Amino acid sequence: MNVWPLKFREMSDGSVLFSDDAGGFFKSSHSFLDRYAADSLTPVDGTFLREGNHGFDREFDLPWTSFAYRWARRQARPTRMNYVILVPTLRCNLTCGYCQVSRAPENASGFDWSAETLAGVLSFLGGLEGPDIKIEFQGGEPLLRVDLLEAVQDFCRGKFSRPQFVVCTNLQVLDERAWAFLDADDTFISTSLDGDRATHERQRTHGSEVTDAFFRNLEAAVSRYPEGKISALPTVDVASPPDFDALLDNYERYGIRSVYLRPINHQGFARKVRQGDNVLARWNRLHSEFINLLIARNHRTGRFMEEYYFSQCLKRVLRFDADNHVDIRNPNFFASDYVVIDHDGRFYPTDEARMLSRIGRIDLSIGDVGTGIDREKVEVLNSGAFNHFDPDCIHCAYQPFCGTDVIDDVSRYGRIDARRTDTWFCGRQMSLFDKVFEVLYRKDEAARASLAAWLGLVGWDDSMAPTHP
Amino acid sequence: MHSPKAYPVTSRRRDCIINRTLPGHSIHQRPFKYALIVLVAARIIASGGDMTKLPDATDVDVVVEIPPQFQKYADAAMLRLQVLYPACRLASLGGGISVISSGGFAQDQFRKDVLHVVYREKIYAETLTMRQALVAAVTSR
Repeated sequence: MNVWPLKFREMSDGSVLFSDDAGGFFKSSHSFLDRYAADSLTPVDGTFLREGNHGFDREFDLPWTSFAYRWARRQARPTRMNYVILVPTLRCNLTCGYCQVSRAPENASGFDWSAETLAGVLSFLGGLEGPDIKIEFQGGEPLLRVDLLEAVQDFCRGKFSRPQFVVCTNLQVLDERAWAFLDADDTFISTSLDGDRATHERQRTHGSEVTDAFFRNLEAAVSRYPEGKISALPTVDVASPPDFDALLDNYERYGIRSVYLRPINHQGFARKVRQGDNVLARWNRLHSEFINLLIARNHRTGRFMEEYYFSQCLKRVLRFDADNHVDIRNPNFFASDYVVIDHDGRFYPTDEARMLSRIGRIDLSIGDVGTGIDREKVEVLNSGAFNHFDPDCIHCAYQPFCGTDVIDDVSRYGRIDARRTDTWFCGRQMSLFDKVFEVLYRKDEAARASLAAWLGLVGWDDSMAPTHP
Repeated sequence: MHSPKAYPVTSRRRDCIINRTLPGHSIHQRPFKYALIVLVAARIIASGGDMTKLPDATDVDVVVEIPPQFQKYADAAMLRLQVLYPACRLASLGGGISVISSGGFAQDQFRKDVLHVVYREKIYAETLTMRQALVAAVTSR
């Protein structure tokens, strides 16, 4: 039998995790590692590897073909453009301390789409094929220009049979026209809720009246709309994290059961926020503690909440096609199925690329609505958009589940060929997948119950996380 | 079964390393076929790459022996180790990998890491054609 290459990682409990390129994994021991590396596998090892689909006899035999299928299903294929992030205005009515997108003052001029830009955006959308489109309105505060949002909404409803709209709003000021826009069944709300009231006020609203207005509008939206229409995420400052129990209570109170714990972003002006030393290590510890807290809380209350990105990584380990989140997509080709159009009509491959360009370090724009997407520039970015043969990733047990983040690397190191293991992206992903596998191999009822809930299963069975002595 | 062994290395050894002369046999009095010598300043390597030299660190020398069947991958492993541990100075010797490091340095862990890098290079080299055939079969039109 030929054994597909196994990558390995020593776990905190002293065991060794093995994975193959198609995402098959199991836990074993150092002695198995020695036997495997020295070509001295026992018959028992051979049986285990064969039954776990880690080997084959001949190219194109059934086990080989099966492995090739599983490998192929783990690769992200370029698909048609169906997700467009629009920034109709950079103006905003809040001044959050760590604003990531370089907002402009509410009364400033020159930061909204011109009539010409709007026409260019609609023309671009008109050239897209397929029945479905998802439009995400970003800002600034997009509801400052409901008229532009309505124009896009009307156009998309005429052009696509299944349009969907997400408004990323601070829910600070909502007039009748804004409520009417949000009322539509095809329209969803994404907002920021930084935990408990005190944290939200400290980080975002800076005053009790403004805070009151936000919570008033959030409560009105929650009572007005069905569960699932509103999503929220907190931005967490590692130097001053919120009380996580209070955060979860608050989210649950508003019917939001999925919390995407997000660190302060480095791409934009938020990089100036002082968070102290060893930010990555502190973030990873904080996140790990949050997952433990969630598992214990879920078990105690019987009401299951999740951390969004952790659930995505968990699904990525166990399923095909669980790569909607771009950080775990591989290859992660740019301007393939999604793109960003800024307030001036310029295209960007990601929102982070827009932020990074905004601070003047580099121009990552890839064309504009007048001239179209600059495919030559996209190809340059795409040259680093996969991890298969990265000299570090190729040996990493988490490679089949992980992705790349070229923009983050450029943002932090000014280059895309930094030693992978030294990057923020790798450090965060390693910690996340360490946690995923720690939870997968936990034997307690609390962990099993949360695993089942996060994966949408009736129950979790220990055999689903294989072990070889 | 391939647990790496550690041998003390004298100051003479360090001089040899610095001078890039590697008389490994005479120092160890055993017939090394291959060794990798690593000179390390003791440092804390934090996630994200921050490196801080340990205060009051004293240099300590370690040799990691490479089993014969892995020796042909030691050069590649050395290259990789130089990337992973930029504070190290490396040189090949005979039948093992030699590490010169400092107090506070997790020698056992480092020896294990060195051997794992050798394992990885062997696995990579021996399965590369398998991977190439897989990618070619799946992506060819």
